[in-house]
Amino acid sequence: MTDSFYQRRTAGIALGIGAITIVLYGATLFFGVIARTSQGGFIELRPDVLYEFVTLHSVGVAGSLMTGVTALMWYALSKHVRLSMNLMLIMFGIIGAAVVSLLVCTLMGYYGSGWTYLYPLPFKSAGAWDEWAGALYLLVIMCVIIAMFIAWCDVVVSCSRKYGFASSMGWNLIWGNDTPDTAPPPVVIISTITALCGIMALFSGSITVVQQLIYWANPSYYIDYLFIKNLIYYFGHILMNMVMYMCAAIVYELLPRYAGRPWKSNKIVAISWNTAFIAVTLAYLHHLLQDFVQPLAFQVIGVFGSYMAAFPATVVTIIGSLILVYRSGMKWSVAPLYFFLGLMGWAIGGFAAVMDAGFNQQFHNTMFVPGHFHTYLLAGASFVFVGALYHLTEELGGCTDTFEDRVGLWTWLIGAYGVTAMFMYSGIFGTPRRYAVQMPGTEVYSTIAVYFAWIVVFGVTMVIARYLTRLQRVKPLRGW
Amino acid sequence: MSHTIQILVGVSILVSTVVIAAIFWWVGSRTQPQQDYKSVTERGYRLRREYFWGLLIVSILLFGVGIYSFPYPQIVESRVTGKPFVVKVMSSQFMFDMSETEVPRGWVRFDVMANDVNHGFGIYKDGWLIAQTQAMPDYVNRLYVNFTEPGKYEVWCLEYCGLAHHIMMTEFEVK
Repeated sequence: MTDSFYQRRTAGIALGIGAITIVLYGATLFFGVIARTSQGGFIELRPDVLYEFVTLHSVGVAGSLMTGVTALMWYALSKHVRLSMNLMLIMFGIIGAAVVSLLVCTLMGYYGSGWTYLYPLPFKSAGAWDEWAGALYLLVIMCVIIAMFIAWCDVVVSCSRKYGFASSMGWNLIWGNDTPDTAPPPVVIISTITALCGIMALFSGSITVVQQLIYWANPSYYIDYLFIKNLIYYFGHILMNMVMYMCAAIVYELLPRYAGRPWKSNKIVAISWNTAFIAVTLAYLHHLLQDFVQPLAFQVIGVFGSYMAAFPATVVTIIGSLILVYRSGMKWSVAPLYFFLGLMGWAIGGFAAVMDAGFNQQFHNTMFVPGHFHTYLLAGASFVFVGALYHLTEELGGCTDTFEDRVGLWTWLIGAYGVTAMFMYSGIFGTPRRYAVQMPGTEVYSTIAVYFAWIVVFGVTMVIARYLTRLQRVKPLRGW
Repeated sequence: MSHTIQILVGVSILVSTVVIAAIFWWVGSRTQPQQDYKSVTERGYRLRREYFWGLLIVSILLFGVGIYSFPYPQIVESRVTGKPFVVKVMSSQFMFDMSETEVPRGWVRFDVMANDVNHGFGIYKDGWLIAQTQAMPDYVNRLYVNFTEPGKYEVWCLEYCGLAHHIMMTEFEVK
């Protein structure tokens, strides 16, 4: 298989996975909007139905975004590294099994813990759902773990095989054994670091799932509550951060093609992404800042790691992207605009995340938390995801932007910032998260948020429709 | 009770969003005319160095404030004057069982526990969240609060614990 054929075929698979995952993304986003519409008082969902919807929304959006972004990162790597297309498809098949299991455990088993759950809630729901539904949900998580393990192992092995492990991690650049001309491109370094960091989190996640399944089979099996809470947050925190890091890898590879300038690896890039590896690992501890029995040193480290994470992200990646496009002569088509605005969402949401960690006593588990993570997912990672899909249709189908493409982008953007602003400000004023019915006196934020949420639905629907239309212009490859 | 932190964070979120959006708009609207990349990077790297040092100073300051305001017993106990009034709290789906529903002004220590799943223990006054900790089986989280204002306080669950999570609340009074 020639390099160009391999790259086009990888792009084709990424396009296909992108089409399925963006539809899944839109569908599961819709469940979240329905739940928010109920919180805003426009409709009245029973709490059990609302929490099922919240579970479908959170796991569905997180899973579809992660899968789509992984496929696109694979595409971004394909110019430099040969990855296994079979493994990509196996990974996608396992995610498919997770989707079916998720539908069964929520819609038939009435499971409703949401993406972030704590032991032993899956098995102690006060009669809301059966234990088998909790166990099936854990198998959904296990499917995600196995799928991402396959994907990330392939990245680490393939990059290391071509460039060597130390070079792929950027260590040879730091030690001076590589120069910017001989070092792997940033997409390789970022993908390898992301994959390795993610694999460590997957081990943690798999331990929590296995332990809980043992508990399900044998309720006398003892699990330390604080220990498993640490493992669950280590897994969940890193997994979602890796989605944004994979997006960064995509931007490092694709944005320079529009700017017409190189974005090469250098010592600063290598140091920054290795710092990000350490920072994101330490920062998971900020999820346990209200667990006063956690050792004090861990609490200090959690806050320290959260501040530390801001440095590589803003100093190197975000400022680097601004330098890249400034006076580059580029024209803004929709794809690079998505990348650029996605980085903006990362910066805005990241700032709020640091505030949450720094002053956690006031914001923990308030609406401020979904406020900050919706900013860097809904207006950050999702934008990079869509931008990369648009880029592929440009590259493979010669598609050009239409008025509808721009309407989709700007309505999504306006709606997203309206939704996240309402989350954040209701959190600042003390509204707890995950309340089926809002606390008295705090309903107004949810009511306003509903209008913006439906603007997001309009924007996302338009983007999906346009993407599927653009997809029809992409000709299938011979020998497919 | 002071809500200074909430107000400052609320203002900083608004300001930071406007500033970040303005920077992106400013740069994004200046892709033309084309300039030599080397001269752009030289200027950009200089600004980046200044940003780095600025961020470092701000982070150290905020980190210091954050550590000073840590609510953990190891830190707060050194500031507690006199013997604190102790309230034992048992959390369960979907209620709080408090040993006392009237507490005196001054330092109060809440020994917060749970007997089924994880819960959150968030104390509210007039709609403002003033303190919180987690309630977890097998562990006791000790939360110190210095009550200066008498009146009715509400406690709401701040960790999702099941279908009736949103109605898990209780009240107590500071005399």
